[in-house]
Parts: sequence; structure tokens; C-alpha cells
Amino acid sequence: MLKAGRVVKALRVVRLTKLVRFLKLAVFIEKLEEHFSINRNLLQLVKLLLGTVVMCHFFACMWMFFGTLDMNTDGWVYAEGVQDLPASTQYLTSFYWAVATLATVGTFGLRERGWFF
Amino acid sequence: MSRDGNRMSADSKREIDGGDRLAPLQSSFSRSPTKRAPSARKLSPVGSKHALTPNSGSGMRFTFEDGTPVGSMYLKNGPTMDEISRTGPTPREKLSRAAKLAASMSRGNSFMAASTRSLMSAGSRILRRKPKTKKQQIKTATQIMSEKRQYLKSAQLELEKKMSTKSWRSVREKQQQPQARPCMVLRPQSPIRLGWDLATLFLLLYIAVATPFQIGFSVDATGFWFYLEKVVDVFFITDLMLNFRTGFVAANGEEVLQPCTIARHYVTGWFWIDLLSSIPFDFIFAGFVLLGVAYLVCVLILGLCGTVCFLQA
Repeated sequence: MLKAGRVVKALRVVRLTKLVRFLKLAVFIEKLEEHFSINRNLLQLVKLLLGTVVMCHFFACMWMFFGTLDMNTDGWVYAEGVQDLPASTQYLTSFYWAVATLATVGTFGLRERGWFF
Repeated sequence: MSRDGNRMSADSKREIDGGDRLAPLQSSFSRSPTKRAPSARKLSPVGSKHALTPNSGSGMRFTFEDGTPVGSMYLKNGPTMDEISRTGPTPREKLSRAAKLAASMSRGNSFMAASTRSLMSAGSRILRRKPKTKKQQIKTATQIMSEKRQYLKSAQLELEKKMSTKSWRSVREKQQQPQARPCMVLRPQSPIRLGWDLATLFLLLYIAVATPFQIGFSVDATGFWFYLEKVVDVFFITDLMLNFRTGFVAANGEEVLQPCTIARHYVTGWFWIDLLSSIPFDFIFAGFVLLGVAYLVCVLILGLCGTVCFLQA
């Protein structure tokens, strides 16, 4: 039963195939840029910032996914004791990890820092 | 006279007249060589992309598509030395003719070219030293010099103006002969297609935010967002079909609107990525297996159409 639940959960990952379309993003942007004559520098800046935020979001969600994949309190969610908190707090915790890890400055010890308890 | 011979003569004329006689002049006006170099470097991407191609010869020399060197264009069209001076076969002209011959013979041989060039410059120096009537000769020489310099400058300016991207774009657009649009085929730059692309961009942004969240936090979209997801799925499948009916811009800048060519281009390109990303897993998981099968059949027919076209060509 537990295993079946995991499989169902893991099956949701196939939805990520939708994101493959992002490979085409450069083509779209080039086409629109050519037609609307947007400021190239501004576009670069927006692309970089948006890309960073979306990347962090993606990694945060994936971190959350792997944290809750195991129901046997093995995941970080249970180790940190975040499982009963509202989704927004969970998301923020995960996002914090993603940003800290992507910026290569962070360690993940929320309990020791006394953020939640 | 063939075009090649014409080009060669213009080229050699430039080497002899422009090269030898204008070289000291240009170095005294130290702006012109420095001005020319960056413009040439700036042009190179434009040249590689459109009508101009960098010649693989010595130095940076550009040619138009018909093979005419860029530098010789205005020299060919503009007034030549003879036209300006309007004299008969003078010793100078004889010398330049000889130089042309020598240059055409010594093409590719740098040592011989250098030696002939030095000989020619010596000859022209001697010619310049003995004028018929001193005053007239000097006057005409300076006139020729200034006129030629002015012409070179104006031609360079004109060339630079021509080379700027905007006018090149207009030139390119003019070159495209309006071809008949086949039924139900969209132009790649048509407003409908651009609007569609813009909508795709926003939906992609939504997908990028929503899909990982739904996976990570095991939540499903509800209410408005539920319907939006369905719209996205339908949108992407429609996009797949629409891409078979949207022309593309080929590498040579031409619009291709033939459905068969479009299909071939699409199937060998982005089709598989679009196919993978537009599978409606939500529908399939929700038990709408029939819909999933319908989707697969749809896509298979489209793919087969593309493949048949691919095999035909």
C-alpha cells in the first residue's frame, strides 16, 4: 500500500515532460525580439533574473518532492519537522535551501538555528 | 568584356591608382584608414549572414553575391581617371595599362606583385616629374586627387549607410519576391502567429511555475487553475498541428510556405520535443484513455504526413 502510494507519487514526475518545451524558448524570444525590437540589454537582464528565480523554484519543488517521497521519516521534511506546517512555510523552507545551495553559501540545519522550534 | 575582366581591371586600377597614388594622401589624412578598418570589421557578421561573403583571399576583402568586390564597386561605377582627365592615351594611361597586365599576370605571386608595384610607382614618379605645361599639369593632378578623394569618401559613406542593418533588412525584404501563400498556411511573421507565440510564452511561464509545484507538494489545480491546465494541454496540441501549417525562414533568408517542405523541416526539427511536451498526462491519468488514444492517433497521422513528405523529397 505504501509502495503503491509512492509509485503514484513518482508517476506525477512524467508531467515534467511539459517542461521540455523550454528548449524552444530561445526560438520564441528571438522571434519576438526580432519583431518588436525590444531593448536587448533589458531583455538579457529580465531573462537572467527570471531564469534564476524559475531555477530556484524548480529546485525547491524537487527538493520538496524528494523530501516527502519516503513516508518513513527518512526525508528531510520529517527530519526537520516541517511536515505539519502550512504549505507556504514548507515552500519557503525548501526555497531557502534551493537559493542557499545554488548560491553555494548555505548549509541546511534549520533545527539547530531554531527557526521553527 | 566579361564581368570578370571588368572586375579585374577595376581591381588592378585600384591597386595601381588608388594604392600607389592615394596611399601617401590617405596616410596624411590619418582618419580614413582607421575609419575604414572598424567599419569593415563591423560589417563582417552582416556579410556572413546576408549578401556579402568574406573572400578567403589575402586580407579582408568582401565580395557581393555576384563576385564583385565591394571596394571596386564604386570605382567601377564612378568616374575613372581617364574620364576625369579627359585626355587621349597619355603616357600615364599606357603605364597603367602595362600595370594592369603585370598585375593580372603576377596575381598570386606576392614577390612579383611587389616588384611590379615598386616599378610602377617609380614610373609614375618619373612621369610626374616632366609635365608638358607645368602649371596645367599640376592643377589637373591636384584636381584629380581631390575629386577622387571626395568620390572615395562619398562612396564609403554610402556604403556604410547601405551596410547598416536597417537598410539591409529593407533590401532583404525587397529582394523577397511576394510568393503566393498556399491555403491554410501561416506566414512565420504574421500577426496571428506572433500572438500565438506570445500566448505560448506566457503559458510556458505558467507551466514552469505550476508543474514543479504540483509535483513537489502533491497538489492538484482547482477551480480556475484546473481549467487553465486543460486549456494549456489543448493549446499545446493545437500548437503541434499549427506548426505543420506555419512557414519558416530558411537559412538563406527566404520564406518557405510549401506544406510539404514545412512538414519535413518540422519533423526533422522541433517536432519531437513538441510531441513529448504536449502529451496530456493529466487526461490519461484521469482515466480518459480514449482521449489519450485519440491524441496518439492524431499525432501519428501528423507524423506520418511529415514522414511521407520526407521520403518523397
